[in-house]
Amino acid sequence: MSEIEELSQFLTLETRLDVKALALQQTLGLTGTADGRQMLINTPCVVKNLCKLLNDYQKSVAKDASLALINLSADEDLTSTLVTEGTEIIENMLNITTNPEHELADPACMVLSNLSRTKLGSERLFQTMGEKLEKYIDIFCQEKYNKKGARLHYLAAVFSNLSQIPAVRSYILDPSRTCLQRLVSFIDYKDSTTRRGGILGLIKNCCFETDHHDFLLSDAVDLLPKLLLPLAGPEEFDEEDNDKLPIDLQYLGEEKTREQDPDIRKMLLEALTQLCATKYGREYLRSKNTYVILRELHKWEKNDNVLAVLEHLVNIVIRFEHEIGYDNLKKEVEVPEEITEKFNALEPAL
Amino acid sequence: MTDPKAHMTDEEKHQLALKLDQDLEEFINARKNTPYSEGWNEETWEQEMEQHPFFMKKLPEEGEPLPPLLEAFQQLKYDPEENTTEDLALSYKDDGNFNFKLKKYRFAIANYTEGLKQKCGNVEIDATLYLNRAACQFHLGNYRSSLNDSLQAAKLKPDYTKAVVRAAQCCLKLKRYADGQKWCDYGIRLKNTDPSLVKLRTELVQGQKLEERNKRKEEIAERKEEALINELVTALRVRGINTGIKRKKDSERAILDLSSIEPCHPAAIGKRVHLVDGCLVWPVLFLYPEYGETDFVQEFHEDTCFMDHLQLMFEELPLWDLEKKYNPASIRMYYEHRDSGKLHVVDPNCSLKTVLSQKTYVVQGGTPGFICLVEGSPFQKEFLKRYTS
Repeated sequence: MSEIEELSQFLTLETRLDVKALALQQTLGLTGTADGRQMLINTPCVVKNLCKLLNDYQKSVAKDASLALINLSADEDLTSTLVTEGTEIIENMLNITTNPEHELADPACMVLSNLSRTKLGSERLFQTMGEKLEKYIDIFCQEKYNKKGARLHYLAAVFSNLSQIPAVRSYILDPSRTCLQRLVSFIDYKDSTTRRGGILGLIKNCCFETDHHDFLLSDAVDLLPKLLLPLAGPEEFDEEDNDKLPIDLQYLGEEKTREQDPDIRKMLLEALTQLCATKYGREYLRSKNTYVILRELHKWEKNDNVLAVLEHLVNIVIRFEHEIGYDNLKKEVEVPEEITEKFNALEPAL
Repeated sequence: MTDPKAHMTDEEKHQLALKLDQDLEEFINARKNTPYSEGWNEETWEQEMEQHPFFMKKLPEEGEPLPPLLEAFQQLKYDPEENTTEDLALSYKDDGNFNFKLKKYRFAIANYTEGLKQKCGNVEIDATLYLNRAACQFHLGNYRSSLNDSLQAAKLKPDYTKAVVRAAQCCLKLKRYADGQKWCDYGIRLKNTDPSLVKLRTELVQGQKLEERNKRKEEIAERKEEALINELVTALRVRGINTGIKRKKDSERAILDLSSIEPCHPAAIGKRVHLVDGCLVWPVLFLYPEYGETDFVQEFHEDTCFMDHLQLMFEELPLWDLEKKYNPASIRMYYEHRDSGKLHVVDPNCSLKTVLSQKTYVVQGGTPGFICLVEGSPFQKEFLKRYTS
């Protein structure tokens, strides 16, 4: 019997508290190094036992077990083993997340967000969630769903990761559901960057679906004002400019502030850029006076990465359709391979 | 299939007909001994027909005694001794639905209310009664009552999607947008996809946005107005002009009470003193007590002097000046100091600003006024006497 196997024996709910705490300390220490994680994951039952310990009546034990799982799941090399070896880690974490009385719902969300970073992990997670995805979205949208103070912000990251799967995108973009309508309202959620960023990641991914641009921009979702509002500042416009703006952006007061986080500003602009892939999207953006918001942002913006994306977007918005000449830039424009390579080489700079 | 009658000969048919006639004859003869007594009276048949539930053309009025047959029917249907509370509630519900179809919403509401009074305890029936009453209230425009009833229905039957839809509709009408959205989300959760709720939700969101936009617009306009007023008040203070503006306390912030500079002269209403390029422009009154006449200058720039205006006003002789004595050279101007009751002479070559800045000048009703008399005239002597005594 290896040392790790021996250790894993003590990682059960029934073990005496002092022994269990000690074994857990050891395990947690091991999750700090790549070798340690490899050893743990190769020992059957370790992950399974850790999952169970999240329900331990002793809070410190449950907390340590959750930290160990976060560390393990953060290692993308281990994801395939974690999600396929019958560890039931996904099921366990989902159960904890949906339990309004569980104190470790937030760490459970973090584990899920870690696991879903890889394509395989997100696919396994979506398989497990299945048609119930809407239920998780519902839980996420309910402020104070968790009675023990967990905020479930990391579910936003989970949804963002899940949206790399085409099936998830078409699930969320189904107009007969109100998933998207409810999620977009978190784009300007003040209390958590994780929540804002996660939801924006999901929305950005959805914006790649050019066939759904009309739905995204329709009254039902009303995405444009949601994306523009965090980019708008306290600048005053005259009545003519105000009236052309989406109603949410009209007559903003002098206390209006812009999104603080440059990464999120960049994502907002990237999502808008994706909407410009179709003629419909471009014309809609122009008709809603998007330009004046971008113009004022440009005067204010200091971050070079954001500025690069912003200038690219403005270049599309201020051009005439006959200068562009394509209805759908994604489907109609063929990019020669050598240029693609050049772009890829430039990408890290952005 | 064969019909036995088809095989009857004509003779047989004739025989049968005769026999039937005879039977009928005998039956009628047998009845003759018991005369028909329950029939309607020849004189009063019309009235009796009117009272029969089958034929009556209108319902009995409130308080009018019920015809016996109708009373019996009513007892059958509504008597608590004959019916269970559940039966009664259902009866009232049916009555309500009948009235509802005829768009007699107030009657229907009364029916449903009776039904609820039975307290039959059947959740299904009570929820329906509440929701149906909510529908009536909605049609009558009583959205608050309708909302309350919808909520009662939803409380009794938490999965009652129709009640949730009605509640959301009421919220839209009542402009309670946030509540409405919550109900939509709840309803959508109940019934995975419901296009009407999705649409309603969109309408609620749009309504809320419009309301918020208008509020923002108003606030900005208010702020601008406030800034304008502050500028005006500062200009008045810098010049030492006494207008009697007071600060009044309004909840949190001090608000300037501008009523004292709001003109009350009919010709000056809405022409309050205002700033143009940092200078004050006043509405000004010229009073001619000798003839009880006035002249009104809507825009008197503070840097212009009285003479400029007098010359313009007396280019032509006014009709009321019977003696043709009023002209820029003959006119003497005065203003009155209220507190001391003294008249002060105004130099017509002075600017308005100089005069208003004097300590003894108090602007009354936001409109500076000046008394004009003709130098050396009997009326002037008369008028000045009142102030010396």
